[in-house]
Amino acid sequence: MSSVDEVLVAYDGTPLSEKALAHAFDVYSDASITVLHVIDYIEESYSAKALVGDETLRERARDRSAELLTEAEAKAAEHDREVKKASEVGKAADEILGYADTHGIDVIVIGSHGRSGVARMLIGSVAETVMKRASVPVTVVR
Amino acid sequence: MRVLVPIDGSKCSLRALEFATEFTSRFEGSLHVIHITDYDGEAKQNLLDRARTTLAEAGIEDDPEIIPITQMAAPRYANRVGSLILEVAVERDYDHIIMGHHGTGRLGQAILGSAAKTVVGADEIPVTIIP
Repeated sequence: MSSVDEVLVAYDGTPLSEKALAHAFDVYSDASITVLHVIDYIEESYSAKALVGDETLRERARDRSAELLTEAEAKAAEHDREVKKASEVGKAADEILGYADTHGIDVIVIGSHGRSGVARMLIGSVAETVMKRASVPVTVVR
Repeated sequence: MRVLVPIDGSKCSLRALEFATEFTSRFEGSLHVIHITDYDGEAKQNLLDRARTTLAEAGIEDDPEIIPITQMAAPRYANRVGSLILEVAVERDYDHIIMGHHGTGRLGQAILGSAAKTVVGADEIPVTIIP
């Protein structure tokens, strides 16, 4: 297996995704790290949609995503590192896998649970799907 | 970081070992290879020799270890292998497990091997799964 140059961290602002980012910094000190946030519309509530409308909701989601990625950038700075930022819209697992495939990613790092995970399940569905379908190594952080 | 690498001789597990040597070489880490088996024959020594070669090439000091298990029918066997990997990792205080996506055998092409599934499904140690 060739060396790891490109690392993708799935990031949603939860403590576990911060841990995933920290893991990437610790282990891959010389690799390029991309922080990916997926805007998953399934997570957005229907009542919110009814109240403020589609466009406002999309805008809010984009702002929130940019905010999260800026937070990740700040965390990187604490480690004296820089990260690439990426934001995609869609189903989290599909977008993570798609991004990895199209950007020459060598390793995916993901928390065992994301924002929408049910805490009592030992592994979230996003992490599980990514692991099952990825064509590159996947590290699940807990 | 102390990394545990269970191998079963499948191509996937050998890729996991390669990945693990690279992973461990990146920081002040150590790596230990285990082979859990119910089989007592030459093949298992060949596998360990192969692992030793990979480790030596990477400049990693480790003596791969055989951990015996009693034979039982699949899929219970694979689940038991997964549980044993976790037991070893927890009892001996490993920080990370690196293993193949699926194992050998007829069910080797299953989506996610039962042993890997058991390890991933436990809420204990970070794990890297190699396709």
